[in-house]
Amino acid sequence: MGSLSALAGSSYLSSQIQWLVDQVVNNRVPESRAGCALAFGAIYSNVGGLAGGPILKTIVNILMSLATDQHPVVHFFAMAALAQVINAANLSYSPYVPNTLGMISNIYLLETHDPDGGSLGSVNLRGDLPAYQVICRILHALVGVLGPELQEPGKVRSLVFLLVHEFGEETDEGLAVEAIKCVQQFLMFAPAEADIPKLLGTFRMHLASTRRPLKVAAITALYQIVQRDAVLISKLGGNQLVEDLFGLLDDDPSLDGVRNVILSWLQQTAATLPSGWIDLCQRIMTRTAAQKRAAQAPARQATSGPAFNDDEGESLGAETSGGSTALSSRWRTQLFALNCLHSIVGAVADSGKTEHFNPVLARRAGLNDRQMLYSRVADLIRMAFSASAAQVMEVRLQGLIVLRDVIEVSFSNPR
Amino acid sequence: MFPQQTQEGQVQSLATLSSHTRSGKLERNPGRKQAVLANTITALRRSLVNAETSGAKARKGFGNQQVTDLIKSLLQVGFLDRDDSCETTDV
Repeated sequence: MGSLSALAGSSYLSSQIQWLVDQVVNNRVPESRAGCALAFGAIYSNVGGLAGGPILKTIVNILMSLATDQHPVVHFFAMAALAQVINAANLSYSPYVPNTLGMISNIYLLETHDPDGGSLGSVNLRGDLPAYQVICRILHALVGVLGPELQEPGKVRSLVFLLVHEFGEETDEGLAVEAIKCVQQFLMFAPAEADIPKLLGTFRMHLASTRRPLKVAAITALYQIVQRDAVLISKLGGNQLVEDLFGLLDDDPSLDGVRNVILSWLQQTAATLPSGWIDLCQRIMTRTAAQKRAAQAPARQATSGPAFNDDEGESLGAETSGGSTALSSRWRTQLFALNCLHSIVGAVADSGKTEHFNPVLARRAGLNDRQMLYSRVADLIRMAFSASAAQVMEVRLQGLIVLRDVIEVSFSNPR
Repeated sequence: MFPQQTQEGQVQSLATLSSHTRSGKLERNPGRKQAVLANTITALRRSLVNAETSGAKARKGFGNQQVTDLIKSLLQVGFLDRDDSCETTDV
């Protein structure tokens, strides 16, 4: 229906909308009403804001009315369609923002829309169709419509703050993911109003979650904060946050967002504090080797005691496969740490701060020797050499790249 | 292929689809009726998606009143069907 509305003329559009409105009024079947709601959303998003201008008011009124329906199928899909319409309409939706905010605030308090409330007969449906998550998506879309207006004081801003805060306090994991996306949108338009230290604490807590979508959402939000103000993150999170991020990478190397966070942070702060970053990378590389020895020690102790005749374990090669898995995830962390070293040297070289390569200049400026790059060349060479002797080819190559970087900067700064 | 056909061809195809979905034989076999409806809606959906990317001529074909009326009636039949998959594809 959405595609056909975009291709056919305006007479088709108006007749189709009229038919859908008649269905909503006359047809009491919940699935049909939900379908009508979805159709409204699809039609508006396919037709676009310009051609859909005359029908926007009708669509919004009907969807807001269906959103308060008690049946979970109807109110869930009506709100999903409303979120779709708000995203498609964007600035055209501005006149309806206060009413929509009022509606979602009321719905949030209704028992019929509560996951634990409503009738017993619709419990399973409410579990499959979580209303609060879709309310959060509507809020996310509304924040996008309001944009920089969020910085102006007023009732609308207060209500948005309150709702974002309330959703952020919810314990449900699906809702927490949506709340994080809302917060990200909020940080984009009104960063001064956000309590960054508290948010950082919340995101760090979510990093430890066993649920991957929650972890990924927290990492994406952290990336946004790091992009804005890496120095603030350094003050609030410190070395422990970086080590936690490297730990995440160790557990799950497919989390590319973690690499982006660390690299962005590094690129903004390495020129000022290369020594701190080199210490961190050194700890990561030595921790990796120490962890392996610690993991192997209990395994050796277990096998030295009375051995179980575990035929299954032996035939599946469980111990050896477990060992190789631990090795493979850790070599990736080592590789990334070496990549970070390469970025650190590059960042310092590009910064134009010659005191990092010239002890005379550094002493004249009264800078601490230990903080300068020239004092860490030995550590860089040591790490590069140990990497170039690793079992994995990629680590060896990266070790050689770091060695080449050290030689190049030393050659261009002979002192 | 549907967006590339002549107007007469499109009208004829849609009329055939319409008569098949309304056939009396399907009343005795609800499973077959669902399958016919689902296939019809899926075919329409793919045609519409192709038309959006095929060029002006294909899009112009869908601007014809007769064609859109026939498609509309087919979509509305699928819409009122209780099966979720038909409704979602229909939208």
